[in-house]
Amino acid sequence: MLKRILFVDDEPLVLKGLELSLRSPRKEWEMVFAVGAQEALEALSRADFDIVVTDMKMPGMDGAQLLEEVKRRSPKSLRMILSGQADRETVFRCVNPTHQYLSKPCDGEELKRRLSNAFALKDLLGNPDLKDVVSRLDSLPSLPALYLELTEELNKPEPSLEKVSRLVSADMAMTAKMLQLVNSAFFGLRQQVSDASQAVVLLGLDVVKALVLSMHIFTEFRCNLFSEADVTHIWEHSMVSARYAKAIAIQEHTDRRLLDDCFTAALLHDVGKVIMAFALRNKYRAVLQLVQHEGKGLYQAEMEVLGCSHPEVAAYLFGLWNLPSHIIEAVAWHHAPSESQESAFSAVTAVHLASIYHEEKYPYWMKDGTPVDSEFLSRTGCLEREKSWRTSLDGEGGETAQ
Amino acid sequence: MRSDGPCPVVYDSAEECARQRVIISTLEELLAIQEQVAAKQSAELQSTVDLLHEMYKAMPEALTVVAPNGLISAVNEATLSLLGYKEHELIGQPARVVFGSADSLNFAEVEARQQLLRMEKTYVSKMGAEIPVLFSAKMLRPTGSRVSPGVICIALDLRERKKLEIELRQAQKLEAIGQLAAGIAHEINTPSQYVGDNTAFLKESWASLVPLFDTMRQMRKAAGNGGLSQVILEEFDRRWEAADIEYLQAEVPKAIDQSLDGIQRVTKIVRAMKEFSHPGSEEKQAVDINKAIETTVTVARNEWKYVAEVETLLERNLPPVPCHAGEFNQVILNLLVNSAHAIEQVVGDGSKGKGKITIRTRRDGDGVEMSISDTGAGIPVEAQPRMFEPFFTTKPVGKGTGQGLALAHNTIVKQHGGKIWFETTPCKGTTFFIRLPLSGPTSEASC
Repeated sequence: MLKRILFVDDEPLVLKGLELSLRSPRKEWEMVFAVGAQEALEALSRADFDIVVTDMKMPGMDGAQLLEEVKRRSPKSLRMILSGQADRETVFRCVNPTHQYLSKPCDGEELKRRLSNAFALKDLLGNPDLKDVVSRLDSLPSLPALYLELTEELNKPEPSLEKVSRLVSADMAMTAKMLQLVNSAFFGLRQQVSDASQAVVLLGLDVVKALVLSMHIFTEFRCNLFSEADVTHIWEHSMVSARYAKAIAIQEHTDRRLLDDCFTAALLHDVGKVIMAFALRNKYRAVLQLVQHEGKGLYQAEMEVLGCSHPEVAAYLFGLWNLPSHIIEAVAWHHAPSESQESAFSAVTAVHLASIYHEEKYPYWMKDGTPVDSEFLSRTGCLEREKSWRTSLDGEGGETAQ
Repeated sequence: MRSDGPCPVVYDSAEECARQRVIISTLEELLAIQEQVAAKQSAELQSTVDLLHEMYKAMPEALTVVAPNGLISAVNEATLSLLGYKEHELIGQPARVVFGSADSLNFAEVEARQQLLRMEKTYVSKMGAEIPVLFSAKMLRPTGSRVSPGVICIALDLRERKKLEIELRQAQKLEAIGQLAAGIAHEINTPSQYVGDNTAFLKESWASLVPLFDTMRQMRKAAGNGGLSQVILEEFDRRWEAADIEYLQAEVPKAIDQSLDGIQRVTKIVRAMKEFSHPGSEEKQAVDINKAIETTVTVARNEWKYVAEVETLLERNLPPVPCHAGEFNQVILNLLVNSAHAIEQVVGDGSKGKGKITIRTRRDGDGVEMSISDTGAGIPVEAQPRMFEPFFTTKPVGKGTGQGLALAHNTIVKQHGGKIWFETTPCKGTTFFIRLPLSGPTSEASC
C-alpha cells in the first residue's frame, strides 16, 4: 500500500516546489497537496493520511489548529509543522499538537529523511490501538512530587535555573519533552542535545516557565493501577539506572556526548511502562496480574497480553518526537540488545546492563527479569569489562534516588 | 478630528501652559501693588510685595524681565542657575545674551500679541551651551499703569524631557524593528523554501538527462557509420522513458520561472528593508513619498497580508518632500499596522474574507497630502480625543505601547511642520491624513 502524505500551505508555489523535489519517491508515496486548511480538511474527510505536514501561519485556520483537528480525526497520523515563522508565540501555540517541527527553508533531502524515518517507525509498533494512543500523547505523566516542586519553583519571582534543571533531569517525562522541544527546528539549534539540564539552559527559564505554567506541557502521573510504592519504584528504577549507566560510561572514558546519551537513555528506558499503564488501564492490569501472581517478567507478560512491549512503545513515541537516534535505539533494544546494529560499547550496552544491575540489587515484584545478554557483550567486545563494571557499582546506592 | 494645534509631546504641555499663565498674571498684580506701595507707603502692602518677591526667587522656572530698551532688568535664582551667571552679570545686559543673537526677543511681536507668546526655543548659557526650554513671554501691563515695565519671560528647562523623548522614540523604533523582523524572516523563508525545492528538482532532472545525451552521441556516431543497431535504439527508448521527458518539458520551464520569481521576492524585501531602516541622517532630505510608502508596505507585508488587501493610489510626479526619511517611514508603518489591527478586530483570522487598506497621495497646494483608510472597526467616540496622547492605547496588552500615534504626531507636526488628523466612522473604518509642507517647516508650536 502506498504511504500517504498530506502537505498543507497557503502558498501554492511552496506546494509546487515540494511536489517537484519529492518526485523521486513518488512510486512509494502518495502525496496530496492542499492550499490552506479548508482544502486540507476536505482531503482528510475523504481518506486518512500517514503523515500531515503543514505550514503554521495561514489565513483562516492556522497550522496549530489544523493539527489539533487532525489529531482528533485521525490520531495515528504523524503531525509535522514546516514553517518559516520564527516568533516565540507561534512556537508555543503548536507545542502541543505537533510531533515534529521543521523550519523553512528545509532541504529536500532532510525532509525526505524525516518522512522515511517516520514511515519506518510506523512498522515498528505492531499494536494499532497502541499506535493511536501513543500518537495522541502531547506529554507524558510526571512523578507528582517532582511536578509539584517544579511548578512551585517556577512560580517564584526568581526561579533557580540550577534547581529547575535538576528537577527536569530527575523525571523521565519532563526530560523527554524538553529534549523534543530543544531538538526541534523552531529553536534553531544546530547540534542535537541529549542532556535535559542543557536543554533547560538552552531554552531559558522564561521559555520553560511559559511552557510549564501556561502551555501545561507536563502533567501529573495519576493511575490507580499502581500503589504509591509502585510509582516510587518506577521512578527510582529510572533514576538509579541513569546513574549506573553514566558510571559505566565514565569507566569507558566515553566522550561527553555518549555520556549524556547513556544517562538520558537509561532515564527514559522504561517510559513505555508508564505510557501503557496510563493509556491502557485495565488491559495493563492483566499484564500486572501475570507478573504478580505467576512471577513472570513484565516484558514477557506484555508480549503475551498485548503483543508488544514497553521498549517499542517508548521508542515509537520518541521516534514521533524525533529525539536523538542513539537514545531511541538504546531504549528500543534494552531488553534485546543483540537485535541492535551496535558492534562496540554504546548506550545500548550501558542501558541494558544498568537496568539489570538495579533489578538485581533492589528486587521488587514488578521486574523485567531479563538476563544479561552475554552473546551481545562478547560481540561488542565488552564481556571482559562487564565484571569490573558490576563490582564498581557496588558502592553506588539506590536508596537515595529521590 | 484635527490635531495640528497643541502638541502632545511626552509631557503635559497644557498644564505647563496654565501654570505659566498664572505666574504672569500674579506678577502683573505684584507690579500693580508695587505702584500702590510707592504711592501709599503702606507697611501691609510692603510685606505682601516682599512675600511675592520671595516666591519668584524660589520658583523653579527661569524668570527674566526685559525692559523696553531691550536690556535685562530682573532675573530670578532659577535663571542664574540654569545659565551659570551671577545676578550682576545679567542685569543691564542686552536680552540677546540669553536668547542668542539670532533669536532675540521681538518686542513688536510680543506687544502685538495680546495673549501669551509660547514656543520651544533655546537659551544660551554663560558657557555658550544651547539649552532647550519651553518659553512663554508677555508684555507686562499692570492695572492702573500706563507705561509697561517690559516683557516677562518664563522658561522651563526641557533637557531631561528631550532626552526622554529621544529614548522613547528609539525604544519605539526598536520595538517596530523587532516586530518586523519575525515577519520579514517569514517573507524570506517562504520563497527560499520553493526556490530550494525547485532547484533540487532541476538538479535531479539534469541528472536524468545526462545518460540520454550519451546515448544520443552514440546514435549520432552509429548513424555516421551507417548503421543504428537495435540495441542502441532500445537503450535510447529506455533512457528517454526514465527521464520522463514529457513531464520535464511541462515542469522545468515553470520551475525556472517560479524560482526566478522567488529570488525577486527575496530581493525586493531585502531592498525594501535597507530603504526602510534608512540609517538616519540628521538633516532632512528630499524624499519621494510614494516610494517611501511602497517600501513600507513591502516590509510590513506579513503584518497585513492575512487580514487585508492593500491598494495604493499614488499621484504620479509628486514633488519630493523635505523629510527625515527614517522617521517618516516609521509613521507610515505605525499607521499601516494600526489599520491592520483595526481590520483584524472585524475580520478576525481572515477566514471570512479580508478587509481593505487604501493609501492615497496627492499634491495639495504647497504641500503633499497622504491618507490611509481602513475598513476596520473605527475609533470609539470616547477614545477619539485621546488618540495622539502618549501611552494611550485601545489595543490589548502586548499589542501596542500607546506610543505609535503620539510619536507619529511628534514627527509630523514638530519635526516636519505638517499636520496629522483622522476621520472615523464606527463599524465603517478610519482614515488618517497627513499633510507635509513642501517648504521647510516652522519649528514653532503655539499654544
